[in-house]
Amino acid sequence: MKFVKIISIIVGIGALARGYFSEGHSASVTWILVLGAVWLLAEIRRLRWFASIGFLACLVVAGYGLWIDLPAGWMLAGAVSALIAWDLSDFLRRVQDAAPEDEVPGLARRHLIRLAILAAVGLVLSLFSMFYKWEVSFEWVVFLAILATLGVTYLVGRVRRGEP
Amino acid sequence: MSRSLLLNLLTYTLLVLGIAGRRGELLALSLPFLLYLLFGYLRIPPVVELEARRHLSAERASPDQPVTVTFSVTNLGASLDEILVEDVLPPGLRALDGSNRHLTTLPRGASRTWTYTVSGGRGYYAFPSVRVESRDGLGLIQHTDDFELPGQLLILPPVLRLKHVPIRPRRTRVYAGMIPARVGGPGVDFFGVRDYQPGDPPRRINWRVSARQTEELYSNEFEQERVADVGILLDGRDRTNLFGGGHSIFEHSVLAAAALSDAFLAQGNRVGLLVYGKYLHWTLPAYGKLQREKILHALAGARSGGSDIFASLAHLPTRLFPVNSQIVVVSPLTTDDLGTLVHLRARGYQVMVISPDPVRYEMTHLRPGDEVRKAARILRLERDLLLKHLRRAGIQTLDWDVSQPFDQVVRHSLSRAPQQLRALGRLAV
Repeated sequence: MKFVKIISIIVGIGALARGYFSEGHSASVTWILVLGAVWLLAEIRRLRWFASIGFLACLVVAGYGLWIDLPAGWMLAGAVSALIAWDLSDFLRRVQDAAPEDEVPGLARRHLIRLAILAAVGLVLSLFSMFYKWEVSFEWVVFLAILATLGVTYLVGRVRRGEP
Repeated sequence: MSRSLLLNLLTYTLLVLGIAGRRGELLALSLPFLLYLLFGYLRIPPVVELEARRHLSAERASPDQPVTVTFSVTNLGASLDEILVEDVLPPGLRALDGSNRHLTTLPRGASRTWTYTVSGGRGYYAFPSVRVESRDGLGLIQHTDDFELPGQLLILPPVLRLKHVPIRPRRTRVYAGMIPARVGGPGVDFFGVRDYQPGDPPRRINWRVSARQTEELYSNEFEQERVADVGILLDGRDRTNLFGGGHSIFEHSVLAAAALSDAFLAQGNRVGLLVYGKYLHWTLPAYGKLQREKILHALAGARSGGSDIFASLAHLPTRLFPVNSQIVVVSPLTTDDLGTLVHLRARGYQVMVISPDPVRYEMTHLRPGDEVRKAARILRLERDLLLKHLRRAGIQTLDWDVSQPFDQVVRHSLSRAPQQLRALGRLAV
């Protein structure tokens, strides 16, 4: 499980760095690699809280990359790998509470399968939506905007109520 | 920030940016996260319906004795993807073998049973509940439920067997026992000579005294032995028990009180216990094994504490103790306790002071040095003077170096009756 997590971080950081490098953003590549090194170090030192920061940073880097028209495939791979690493980091934190006699390998196997399916389906859907040009009509934009507004309102409400 | 909130914020940020900037790539990027969130919300853990059971291998134990706890849960509700079950331990108990926390899945109708062992110091431990944290398969949503599952474990203080603790209160009760009652009658020890009375067995006639008289006979009289009232006062004041570094001599006082109450009850006496500390805890005097249990329960739960009211023994409620009875004070003592103890003696109580030596005890926890040695010397002088004053007042004292076993110290120092010691001119024990 730890191995998969480390690989996910490496793949995620590598994909983002590759995407930025392909368009000649060398300075950004350095910072991305530094982020990856720090994240790896934090995982080795069991600083689990850093996983959220690493995930957030990777997503920001991937989003910005897409915004400036870097290769979408690399950005998407980087973001999904960061999601996997973030998820596994939290799973490993939860598993720390388990007793030695608990059936952790079974739990881990089921979790990995579930995560792999979700990541694969998500990746396929994203790639499909990127390469399939969908002409968004005005009505769709309005619908999505309303959906986003409702979602943000719901989120703000939850934050104000202090709910998890 | 919780994981679900973070992911929600990120996903919606991507969506909003994608819509606002009309960038399909950003919308596409949000899809894996939306899927992840959707899966998490679809698998929100249901309302947990569990039946929990706990069994302890013993409900009474001695300090640090391992007790096996078996607890099981049965899922009566919907299937649970991931739950963390914790048998919440009361403070002071620690798990030795096994764990009281388990991570597992629990399908509908399934049961899980775990075993672990606990141990702890003296005390009354009430198991409060079983805590269940249920999560969706991705750990996004988490519910915590507490299932009340009361249980109790009583860790009693060790009871050292004392052979015989001689006491001699002024007043005894009517029942036959082992305490010399200062009254003639059936007994073992010679008490005096009186006129022969019809019915006296011939073997009781004191022929030597009778031979000196012309016509009258005299009989030997023996001292009656009866039971007595004994009140044990356990000093639980922080100011006398607590030392630097959090070390407390109170455990030794409890040990002494347990051994003494057991010995007095075994002799058939009526024994009561007063714990004098943060508050007063009074165990009414009574006889027998049931009273032994009551006193041990009280001692198991006894804690030292601080209180402005009970900072000195001046507020000792002496009326709790029957008039002219025996009072056994278990206390490290301070210099201002002298007045109260002498006052007790003056009111007719027979007072015995068992004093765990706080100076030696504290010395064992301090780094040796010149200043420590001098301070200890001063404290030793004060304490010796205090004990001397107590002995002069007719109070029997036992200065107990707690590094020595209590039963051995008692056997060595209290094996002779106080009256005999006084007759020998030795007030000190």
